[in-house]
This record gives sequence, structure tokens and C-alpha cells, in this order.
Amino acid sequence: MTTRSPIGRQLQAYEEGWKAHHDEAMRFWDFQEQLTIGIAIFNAIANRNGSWRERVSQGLDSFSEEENSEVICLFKWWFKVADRNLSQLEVYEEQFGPIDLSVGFRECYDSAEKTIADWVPPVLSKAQALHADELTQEEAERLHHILENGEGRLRHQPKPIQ
Amino acid sequence: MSSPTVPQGEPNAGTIPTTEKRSEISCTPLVPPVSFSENLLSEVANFDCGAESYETEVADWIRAPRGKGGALDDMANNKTQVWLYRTAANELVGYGSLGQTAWRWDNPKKGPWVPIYVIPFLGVQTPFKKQPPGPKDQRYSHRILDDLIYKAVTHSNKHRLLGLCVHPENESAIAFYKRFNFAEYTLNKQGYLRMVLDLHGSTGSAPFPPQTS
Repeated sequence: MTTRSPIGRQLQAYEEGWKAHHDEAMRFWDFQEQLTIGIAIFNAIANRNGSWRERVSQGLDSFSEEENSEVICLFKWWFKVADRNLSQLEVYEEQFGPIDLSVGFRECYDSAEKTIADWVPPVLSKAQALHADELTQEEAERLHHILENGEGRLRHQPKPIQ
Repeated sequence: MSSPTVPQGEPNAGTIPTTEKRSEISCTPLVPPVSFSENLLSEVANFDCGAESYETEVADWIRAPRGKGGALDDMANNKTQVWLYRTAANELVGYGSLGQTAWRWDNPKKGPWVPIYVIPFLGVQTPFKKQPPGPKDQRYSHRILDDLIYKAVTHSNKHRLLGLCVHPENESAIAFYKRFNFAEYTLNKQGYLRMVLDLHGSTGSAPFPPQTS
């Protein structure tokens, strides 16, 4: 798995931290810190996935098998480390009762598991309206005109179906 | 436009009587829409809103399994929201969708991407087009589009524009959107007509967009 990206480097440190703590029987407070870091890294991976999917879907980026592989590998890597943390979490919970961040960490864990299991690479949307558009100068001027003269202005109160 | 093509709010002129109730449908009112999801895919397997290419693409989008660039992919990849609309008699009338994209229109190629709302597709099944009989603003297509506009103006992001794409030959759809004051804009690279609605409108003295409670 790659360590080139900033997230990859963080993941590597996260994994090494787990090993070190595991070797010395990981102290409880250090473990909570490990959970905090794990949640933060998961959110960074999820954000990257979301941003990449949106760009491919909207036509701003072409799909790349290399990037697809890299993003899913980040999830798998995180999940592998988190799996060990989860085992340790259960041990601590048995010992000390409820632990801060355990709910948030488990949500990340479940989300990662589901993301990996349901993985479908992003694809350009068939809905052209969803494609991002770089307007020409002429089109931009036309749009300014529409907005300024009220040509396309909503003039009624829309009603929801209730 | 918003789908591409589509729109489909109204059928081609003359295909369906405009003032008579179709015997095979109940003509009961719409009930609140339900969010579309993968487990509802089988319910739209026979979705049909016409045979024209700009009508079949509307049906194809909602019926597409993951990986084909349809509704389910857009829900997963860019947070598009999709709803199924049914009557009180549980007939599937159609679907509507609301998504977001970005246009770079202020100082093109250099300026920031400006987020806008879009209606990727809106589809009404053939038997329900121009139904129920009576005022146009009570038709299923009208009620669905009005509901989508309501969802846009009350959305938390407060984008100014609501856009969509219509096949230029789909004259009935263009007329349908114009009744809501969508302005005909320009053709996109694929030859679809972009239409836009400025949500920062005004209804006169009434506050608008409506206050959310």
C-alpha cells in the first residue's frame, strides 16, 4: 500500500503507534488518543473519497484505475489497523466500562466495513445537468443578464407535497 | 438538463387526452414522496415515460444498477437526492431528483466554481401525464416539480440557481418548465438546452424563500 500521500503517511504512523503501544501493553490513556487519531484519519480518507467521487461524477476528473486502487487501499489499510484497536477497545470496556469516543470509533469502523464491502468505482453521471460546466464569456454575460433582468426569477411560492 | 434530457414532465402533445380521466389510474392525490434506494430498484424496473430517446434516458437513469452512471451512482457519488412519487392508491406516478454541481461563470476559466442546484431528471410515467384532469397546477407533473423547487429553496446550502437540461426537441418539456419561469439559457456541449431558475426571486410582499421553521 502506498505511503506517498499525506493520508498514507499518517496511516503508517497510526499503524506503527499501534504496534508500539501493543508491545508495551498499551496504556489506557494512550489508547484513547489512538482512537482520536484513528477517527481523524478515517474522516480524512472519507473526505478524499467523497471529493474524488464527486469530481469524477461531475466530469471534472477522469476515472483512473490507479486512483481507485489507492482510495480503496486506504480504507482497507485503516480497517486493518482499526480492527486491532477494536479488539483492544473491547478489552478496555470490559475492564473500565464505557470509553469516550468508542461510539464514534465504531461508527467509523462500520462505515469503513460497509464502504469496502459495497465498493463500486465512481463513474461519470449520465445526467448532464450534474456535469460541472465552464461557461464561455458569452454564456457568462447571458447568465448575468438573466439574473439582472429577472427573466428566470421564481415568482411563486412553491408548495411541498405533504 | 437537469438531466439531460428530459423532462418529462409532460408528454408529447396529442398523445394523451388532456381533459379526460384515464380509466386505468385512480387520479388520487400524491402522498409525500419516499427517498429512492437500492432496495427499491425492483419497483422501478418497468418505469416507462415514453419511447422518444429523451424519454427513455429518463427511465434508464432511475432503473440503472450501480456502476452505470444512473440515479444510484449519483446518490452515492455526489449526494444527489431522488424521490419516488406515489398516489394515495399506491400507484408509482414518477420520480424527481435534486442534485448539486458547479458552474464557473464569473470570470470563466479563472474565477471560482459556483455551486448550483440542478434537477438531474424528473420523470412521470406515461399513464399519469397530463393527469389528473382539471387545472394544470394540480397535475402530477406540476406538483412534483413544485415539490422539487420547494426542496431547493428550503435547502440549507441556499444556492441561487436551479438548473436543468432539456433535449431541444422536447418542446412540451421546455414549455412545462417555462410555466415555472425557468429561463431558456444556452445549449451545452452535448446540445442540450440549459434552463435556469433564479431562486432569489420575489413574490412581491411575501417573504421568499419561505422561512423554515
